[in-house]
Amino acid sequence: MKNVIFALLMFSSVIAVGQSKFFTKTGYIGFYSKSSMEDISAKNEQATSIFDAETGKMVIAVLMKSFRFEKALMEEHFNENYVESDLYPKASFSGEIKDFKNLNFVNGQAIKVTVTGQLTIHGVTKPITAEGTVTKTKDGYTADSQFYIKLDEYKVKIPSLVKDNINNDILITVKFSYLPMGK
Amino acid sequence: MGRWKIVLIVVVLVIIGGIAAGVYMYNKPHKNIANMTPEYVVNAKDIVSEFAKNEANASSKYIGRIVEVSGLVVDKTADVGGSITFSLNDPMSGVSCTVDSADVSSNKPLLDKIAVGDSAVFRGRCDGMLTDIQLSRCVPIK
Repeated sequence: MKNVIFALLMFSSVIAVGQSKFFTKTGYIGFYSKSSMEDISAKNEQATSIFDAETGKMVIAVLMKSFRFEKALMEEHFNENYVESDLYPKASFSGEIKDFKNLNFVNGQAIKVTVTGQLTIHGVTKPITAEGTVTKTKDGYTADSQFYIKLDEYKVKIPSLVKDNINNDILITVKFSYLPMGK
Repeated sequence: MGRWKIVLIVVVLVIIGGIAAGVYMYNKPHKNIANMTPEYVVNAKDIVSEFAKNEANASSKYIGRIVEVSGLVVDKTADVGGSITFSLNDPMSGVSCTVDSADVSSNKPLLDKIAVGDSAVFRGRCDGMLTDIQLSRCVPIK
């Protein structure tokens, strides 16, 4: 009996070591533009992301057409004129958490992190750095971050007619809840 | 004098008409997918293999279209913003049907009934493929 328990413990620890990749495909990404004329916001709750809890590497992919605006006309303009989602259907991020090996994750404790990597929107790739928090949970990890991007850096053109309605600086909010991959 | 008055009234009516059209466009509601006839009715297994064989062709066939898909529910996740995502056939590489938070309460009775392990049918707009086929703005049909 003792041998069986010992064998089970050995077996489960091997499986635990293999569980370093975490996954979500219901990641939340919201963006917000504040201007004197109006505030515009949209959300996408279908972001896909893989987080490697051994290396701190993170990849995120999102379909532009899945961004939902309250106003149907805004959603149309967003897709047809601004991000041209027929030409550039996806936005993606590939990067990692800085100094990941030195971070100590305790269940339930939110750890401040800095994430650096390459962000691709509208076919343009730019390096970004963002502050956020990562929390280890009973089932996996959660990650939250807020950062700004500039639309002109990604060649998203704002027509001069609406330049007072849309801010060039857009606030991006990211909320991911990761579960072990292959579960 | 009388003629000018008529011209003025016509001009004012045209302007009011233009403003009304503009306000309607600005406030026009999202398409009601529950009332729309799907352009494609597929089962999850077939649409997944179509995208696997040739993503470019399948993308131009399905993206932006209303698709009705049937499959086995292998995952049901409530999202941070209030939407609910059902995964059909495979948790990572099947079909994801997301019911937007705005549509959840009007479909609540049927949504509550659909559980992991059930066969279900969803109608939504195909947005493309990441690791799996993504349908958004879904309504549950069965």
